[in-house]
Amino acid sequence: MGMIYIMLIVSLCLAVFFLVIFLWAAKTGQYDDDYSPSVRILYEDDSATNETNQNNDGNTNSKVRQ
Amino acid sequence: MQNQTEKTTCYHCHDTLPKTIVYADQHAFCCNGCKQVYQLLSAHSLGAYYEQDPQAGIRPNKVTQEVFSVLDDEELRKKYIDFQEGSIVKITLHLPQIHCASCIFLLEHLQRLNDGILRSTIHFPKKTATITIDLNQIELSELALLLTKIGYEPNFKAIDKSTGTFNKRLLFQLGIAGFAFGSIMLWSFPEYLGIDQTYSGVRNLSSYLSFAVSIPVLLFSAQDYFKSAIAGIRLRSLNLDIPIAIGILALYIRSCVAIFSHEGPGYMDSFAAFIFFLLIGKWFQGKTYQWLSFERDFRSYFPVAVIKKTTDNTILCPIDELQAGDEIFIRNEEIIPCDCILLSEKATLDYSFVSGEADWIEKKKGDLLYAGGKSMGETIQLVVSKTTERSILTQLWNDGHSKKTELFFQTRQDRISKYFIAAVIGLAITASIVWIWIDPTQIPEIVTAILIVACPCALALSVPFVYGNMLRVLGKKGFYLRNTAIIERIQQCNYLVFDKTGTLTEQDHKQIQYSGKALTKAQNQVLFQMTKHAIHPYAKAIHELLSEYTNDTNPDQTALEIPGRGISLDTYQLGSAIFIGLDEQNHDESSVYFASEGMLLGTFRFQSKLREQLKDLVQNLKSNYQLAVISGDKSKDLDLLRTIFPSGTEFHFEQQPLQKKQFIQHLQANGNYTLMIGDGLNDAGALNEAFVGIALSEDLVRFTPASDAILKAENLKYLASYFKYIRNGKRFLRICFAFSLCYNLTGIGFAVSGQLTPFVATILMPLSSITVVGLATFLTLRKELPPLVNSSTKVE
Repeated sequence: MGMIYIMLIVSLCLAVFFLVIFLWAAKTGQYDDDYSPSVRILYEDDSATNETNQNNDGNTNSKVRQ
Repeated sequence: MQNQTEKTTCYHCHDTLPKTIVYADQHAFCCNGCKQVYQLLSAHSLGAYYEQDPQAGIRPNKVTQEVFSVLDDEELRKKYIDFQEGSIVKITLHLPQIHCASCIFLLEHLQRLNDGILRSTIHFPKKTATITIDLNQIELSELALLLTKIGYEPNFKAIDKSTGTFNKRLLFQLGIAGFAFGSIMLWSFPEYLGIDQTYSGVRNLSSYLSFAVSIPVLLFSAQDYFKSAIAGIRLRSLNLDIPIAIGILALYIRSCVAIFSHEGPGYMDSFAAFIFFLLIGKWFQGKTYQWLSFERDFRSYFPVAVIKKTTDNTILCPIDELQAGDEIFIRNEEIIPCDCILLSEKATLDYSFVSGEADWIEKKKGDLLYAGGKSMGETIQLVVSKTTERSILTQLWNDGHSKKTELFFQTRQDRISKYFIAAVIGLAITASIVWIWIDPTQIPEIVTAILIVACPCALALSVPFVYGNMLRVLGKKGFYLRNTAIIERIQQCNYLVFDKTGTLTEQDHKQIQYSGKALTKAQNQVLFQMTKHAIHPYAKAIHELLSEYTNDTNPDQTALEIPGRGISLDTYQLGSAIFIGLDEQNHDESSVYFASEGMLLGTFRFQSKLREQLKDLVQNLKSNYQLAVISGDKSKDLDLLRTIFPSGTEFHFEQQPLQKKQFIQHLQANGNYTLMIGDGLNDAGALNEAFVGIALSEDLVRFTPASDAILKAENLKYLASYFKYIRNGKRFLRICFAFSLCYNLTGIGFAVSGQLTPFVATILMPLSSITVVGLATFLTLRKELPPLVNSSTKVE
């Protein structure tokens, strides 16, 4: 039965730990914007896009001139 | 022509393509502005912009850098920038045009467009961009101009920062209540499973832990309910928070007694669950439109600063600091910020936003110009006669801003709670009288049990979830309510008052009727040339009309435009009757005359164009509401409106803003609940005075006066169905109330018979809350708004 005492304390510590994380996240504004991070994560790597877009640049310019 | 049939919308802004299409890279554009944005983006390898979201792209406004010169002034810009370190400046700009994933993509890659931009981050719900720039490479005004060029014109009016902190506090409360709820429930499990005195050590520890955890819930998470209950008692108005507060206290005190007499944790689990659910309801209700401002005042309409003349040169001066006697300059399309006297020879002003009058007004040297007019044409010089605070327009505004907030409005929930409290108290007394004969020692137990189960948890959740869902459904359809209380207000309204200009009629489009001699091809060509670079809206409209028949072949000829009067080219003249030289009797303000060598060739008559499906809308509304139209414009459209509105409708024309407000006051004094629908500053007083004020907005970005709700102008035709849906809300709520009362009655059955145990309470309370939430969601989301379905079938 002694195990129960430890379990009670452990559960409290765990819950407090999660509460603190939640409060910290709320305080630093991580729940303010729930949309843009989902978009931001899908940006392609800048260096990669630069290379592929070099060709595109040429294309668009020539078309514009036409 | 082939391309035209293939693509009907602009590649950039998705507007329907006009007759004259601009092409680039095989994409069709509606105007040069859109094409330039596209070219700018693709030249900087930001073409992916169009792939992020199909709704990407906003047609840019034409603005010059001068407009943003405020930002280059060391002193004036302090208000806007977050911090400055050497040449590095961080600024947060409100960009109301942000609307999709593409916007985020583009605005967070601004550094590709200009090396001076170091970093930018978007806050989507607030529609702000926090941008860090290097002043050595780019001026702030250049940045603002760049943003405007790609379609995101910054709005410099103060962003409301208070809502954020409110939500944060609620999140903290919610977190703590949730933490306590989960923990206590876990620790109560042995209790549910029938632990007994043999394990009193474990029982006591879990009880004391529950008690410890519940203290912050009582003191922090639940404090708003106590505050509101106390306020309610003080004002002698019963609200639902009173029974809630009583229930919370009963639960808490009963549980404390149980804990300290070593009977187990009592009802602590129900207590925490109860607070947690209530806060969820509150949070759900509070999630409103952060990016829409319902509180805008006249300031958001005025420029931030104007050019002021000092002894030796000109400086930028914020409008708050203007003094009577200052000389100021107002450029083309700028707004006069205060009552002034005109120093220039003449000026042409557009007062449509202030007065509702559609036609431009001419003023001569020495005339008094009221604040709010938009100067059209050349830069004019003025001398300030009254400061902005004291100008006529502002006074009207401040005058109208007082009463409505004080008007105490009891919600349906509050009215019910009156009976609720009476019933609970009656029940508690009866039960205790009955128990005197059965077992008097049980009376305190029974009374607390009744107070506990009668706690209107499910009842309190009905309103946030029914109305909160409705708010969201309406928002998706382009009708944005300020908060859920507005739903109940709209349900009460019986009198609808419409503004005319910009509300019933379209702001920018007019129907043109031509009468007179048939024009030859050459004359058409002349007209086309004359109106090509004109600034007057009538001339522009004629140009648009002609461009359907005429090809732009001839080289540009310089036509002479006299602002507000007319245009002349060679021997041809186009303009007002006086300009052409007709006698004043024939003069009709809504007509434009075309003449050659003084001979009248023909007349273009402009008639307001009513919004589409207005007739159907009125048909649907007239059975439920008394209607009225009130306008600042002249009565020229009366006949047109008569054909649409039923015979009992009141029409009032040439009404000053103050008269509009008085009309509403008059209606309210006669016991009507009025709903005003308007779009301009001239309706502001009336919108404020009305029981419900709805502001119509073309694109949600332009200025709308303070109001209770904002409606997308294109959705005006759906108004009847919105109202029907809102009226249905009453029924939804009644069903939810009935369900929650059933749960309360069941609970009371347990309580009066003395059989309520913590276990029963633990099951009953969450069960009732979950049913009500589910029911509310089901009822409100079940039906689509009827006419929206109709219109989509029509398109097919």
